[in-house]
Amino acid sequence: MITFPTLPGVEINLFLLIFLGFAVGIVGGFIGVGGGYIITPALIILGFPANFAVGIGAAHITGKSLIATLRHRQLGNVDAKLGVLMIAGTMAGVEIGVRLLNWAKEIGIADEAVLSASVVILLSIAAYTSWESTKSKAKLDELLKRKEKLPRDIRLSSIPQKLQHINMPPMIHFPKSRLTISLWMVLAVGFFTGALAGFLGVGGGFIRVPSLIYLIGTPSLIAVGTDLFEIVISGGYSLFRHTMSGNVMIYAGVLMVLGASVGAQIGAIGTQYVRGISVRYILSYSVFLSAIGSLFQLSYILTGKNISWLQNGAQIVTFASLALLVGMIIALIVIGVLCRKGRPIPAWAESLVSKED
Amino acid sequence: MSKKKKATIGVVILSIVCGLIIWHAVYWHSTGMYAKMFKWLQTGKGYLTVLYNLGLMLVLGTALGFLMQKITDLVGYEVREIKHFDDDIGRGNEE
Repeated sequence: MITFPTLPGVEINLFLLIFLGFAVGIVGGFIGVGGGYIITPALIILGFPANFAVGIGAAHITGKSLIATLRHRQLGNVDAKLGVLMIAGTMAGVEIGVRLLNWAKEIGIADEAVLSASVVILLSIAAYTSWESTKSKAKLDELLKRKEKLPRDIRLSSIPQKLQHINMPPMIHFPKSRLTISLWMVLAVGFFTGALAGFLGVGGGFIRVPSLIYLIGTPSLIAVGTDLFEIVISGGYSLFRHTMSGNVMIYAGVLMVLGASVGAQIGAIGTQYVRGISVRYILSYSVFLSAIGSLFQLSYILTGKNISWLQNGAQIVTFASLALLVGMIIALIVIGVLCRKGRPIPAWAESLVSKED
Repeated sequence: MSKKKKATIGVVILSIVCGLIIWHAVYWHSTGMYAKMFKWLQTGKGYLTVLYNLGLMLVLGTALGFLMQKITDLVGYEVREIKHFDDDIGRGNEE
């Protein structure tokens, strides 16, 4: 057990902290999110006050994203040019989102507004991602039946094509993602996702990854690496702000990063064995489970904070979803490895994993 | 120099670096230095705490990230660049 002199009465199990970092590292490394929406409630359950849970999460996210980005760079999953340009829009958006949140606080509807927006946005993202992934899988299964070669990534959304055809100079070419799109579109998507992230008080990876895939048109695995690259900068900024506000116990962050250093490797290297569609499936489950957690929390607030099982339900959902996601990711990686070795794998998984590098 | 030898040297050096950073964090936590630095936030020395926290996470993240790369090199696991497009027939818009 470790204690913190500045947090009297808080005693945390050292191994639980390291394990939490490890588990979130697997999820973050695989789907390209910081994982703040899992870390914050989990740290609260472990015993940290809410503001410290957010601050420690920011420290962990900065270190973990850096570790995962280095690995994704090696895997060719990072489009640094796109990441840098998007950050400009994201930062401006975050500022607007935070101001909007402060305005909601002033008129006394912050909690309800944030949680309602969270539920609606998360459910919309989960529903669309899940629908699109299911359709894409059907298409891949069809190709498989015809014994045709499967592409690494396949998406059925036509939005990226429409956005790429908007000719608003300067048009920027991104060789890594093999796409040409107006700088203003990239900044607008960054601004939009940043504003949502700022308003919801999260890092925004679960909004940015789908936006990179479905709006900009980045291949799924490149979206994962590029988002992690962005999170290094946005997470670092968040760590800076939370340290200034006195919300960071850096020692807890260090311990979590130790766990994440191994977890992020498993998640990042795991992308080598799967097709883009697997990442989108896991992302949709992750976002859906997170929406359920927010729904519990919203119900708790709307019922006047009188029904305590609703709050416990939110916490249970957090840990259960973390366990479920880690389980699904590891299962996919194992199936991918078996597939590479030429071993038999379940028929339903054939279109989810990749035989080639 | 062979790849394995390079990886071994890398693992040794980076393990020492990571070990020193972790030892330093444990030591400063146990001696109360972190608690002292936390109180600096209410004084003019707060910027040192901010710079320290950011620097620590960036240095530790980088060192651990490279250490993990060297470990995979050492155990002979080859991390190859993913071919995103070579066989890509469905870049987004075939419907």
